Amino acid sequence: MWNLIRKDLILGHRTLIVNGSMALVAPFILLLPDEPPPVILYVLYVGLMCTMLPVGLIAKEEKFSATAFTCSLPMTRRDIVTSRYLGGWFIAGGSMAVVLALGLTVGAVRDLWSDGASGGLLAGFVILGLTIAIVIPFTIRFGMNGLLFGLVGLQVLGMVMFLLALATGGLDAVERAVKTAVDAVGSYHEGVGPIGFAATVILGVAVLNWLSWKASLRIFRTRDL
Amino acid sequence: MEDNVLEIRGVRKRYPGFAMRDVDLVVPTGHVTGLIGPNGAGKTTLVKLVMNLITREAGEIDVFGLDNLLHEAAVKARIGFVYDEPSFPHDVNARDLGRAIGPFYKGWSSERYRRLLGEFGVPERKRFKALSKGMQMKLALAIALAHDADLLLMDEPTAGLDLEFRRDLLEHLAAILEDERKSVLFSTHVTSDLERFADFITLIRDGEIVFSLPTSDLRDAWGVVRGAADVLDHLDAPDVRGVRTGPNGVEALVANASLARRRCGPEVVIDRPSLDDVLVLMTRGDSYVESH
Amino acid sequence: MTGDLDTPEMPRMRVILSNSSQEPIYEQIARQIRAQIISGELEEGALLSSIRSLARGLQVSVITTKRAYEELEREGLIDTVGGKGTFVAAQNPQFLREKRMSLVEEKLAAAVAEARLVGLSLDDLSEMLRLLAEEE
Repeated sequence: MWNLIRKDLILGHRTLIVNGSMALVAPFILLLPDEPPPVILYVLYVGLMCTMLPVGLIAKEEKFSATAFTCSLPMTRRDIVTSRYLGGWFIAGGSMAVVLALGLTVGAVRDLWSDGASGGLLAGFVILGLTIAIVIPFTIRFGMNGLLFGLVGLQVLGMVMFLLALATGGLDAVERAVKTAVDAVGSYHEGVGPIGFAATVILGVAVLNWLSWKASLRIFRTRDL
Repeated sequence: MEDNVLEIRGVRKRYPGFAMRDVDLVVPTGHVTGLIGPNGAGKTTLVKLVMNLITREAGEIDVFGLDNLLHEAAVKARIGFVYDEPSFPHDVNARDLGRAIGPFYKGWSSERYRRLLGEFGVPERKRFKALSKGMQMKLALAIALAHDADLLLMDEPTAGLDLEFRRDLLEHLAAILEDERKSVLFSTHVTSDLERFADFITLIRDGEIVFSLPTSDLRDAWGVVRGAADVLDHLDAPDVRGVRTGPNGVEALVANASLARRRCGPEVVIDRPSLDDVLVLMTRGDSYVESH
Repeated sequence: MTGDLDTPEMPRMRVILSNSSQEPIYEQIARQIRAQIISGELEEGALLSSIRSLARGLQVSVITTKRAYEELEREGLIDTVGGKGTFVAAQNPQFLREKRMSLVEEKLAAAVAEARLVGLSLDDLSEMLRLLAEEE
């Protein structure tokens, strides 16, 4: 398993360095406007950029038809899929920790963190877990193209649903529904306290990842290369 | 040690416009089996099925006596593979590849790998994209040969390579085969590579195995009869494996040259068939003749 | 070339193959080894290359060399001792002499056939033979 992750790191180290450098620099752009963003937004942004690192590696392999080579190595398809998840968490999580830590060297960033650090960390974990869980099955099946199609598709879906909402109940209904959901989450938070809430969220992300892993196993097991 | 390093039984695979049905094939241990056939006949499909790059719809595939699905990792650990289009990420170089892949194989020797790269003339630090197609293939070959595999599974490994290198490669393979536990399955349309070197020849056509015979049978017992069209009247129909009519007369591939000689008399030209003759007459002949 | 490709030492066997000849390769191999045994070039008890080394050295398939050796073994010219290798068998001197004689007979028969084609009489042929023999 670790051989696979090591292989991806060795074969992709140039891509990682390039994309990683971008991940390092980009968050500071958030600090440019006068009004600094809430720390959660900052963390979400960093999280997204860092998750793209392992996803980019998978996509690159797909692009060059090198997946056939990986699947010819003495590993099962199951091993390969699992290594994508473990590697994903390892690379994305690791780079995220590095970027966030480096960010703390800048005064403006430290200020951001002063208000709601724990929320920020939890948000980081969530964005990592969500993106990995959603993106990996897509990329495993369709590569980078599939990923782009997926993202565009999601946007189109969003627009269609928006239009539908407009046509049927009007935006009010949607607004009410969203408010109800947010309120529910809020009251849950109050009910179980911050630790309980965090625990629930972490569990949720874990379950989501597990489901995603199962889905990827099925997708990849019978995929013809 | 098993008699057959590879056994394919009743395998089925379908694509739009192509069907492989009930394919049986054995590759004996310690020998070279050549797989020949026209483009699209199913050579690459077979190789991919063995490596489980594509899923078989039915049948069994045993490598080293083990089912290739149930024991996927154990089986692949002993296979050195070369595909007709080696693909690696563009910015990777040979040295990186060696370091990344080595740990997967128990028998990997970086010394052997580097020696092969040197012998083949593959620059260690040049990016994959910057290598010529021939160099890319040589790199893939170096990787396949570097871990002392028990089965070398090669799909068109010499395409685009010059004669000198092909000879070089055959010498390497010959050295490997001095160990009777090593085997080679070599699929190619460059039949001249196989003429002297292969122990068995398997012909595949339209997703079906037409025959699998010792090369010496093909070269010594079979024959190509060349003459006017009436020469066909003298030949035993079941013996005739393929016929081609041209402006100069007829070429007929027969499975029993001495019988044909007795039937046709001393004036008719009967030659030893080259593998190319066999391939052409059996796959591009006037009609396909049923083989037994 | 180095390393894996050290050419194996072929114990005093000289086999040269023609790919274009109509004669099957295994027969070419068998014929040449047979000739060397009969002429004494390969002595009794001499070690022959293994089937696989020979295949490697000649760049032919293993089945080809195996068949050549099988034929020679059938004729009693060589012996394979399991685990030790293949050796030139002890030759019956009478048998060797007979083999040599039939070789001479073969060559004479070929000469006679040629002579007939050219139209030489028996006397001409004998004269030619006498001259050649006296040249020694």
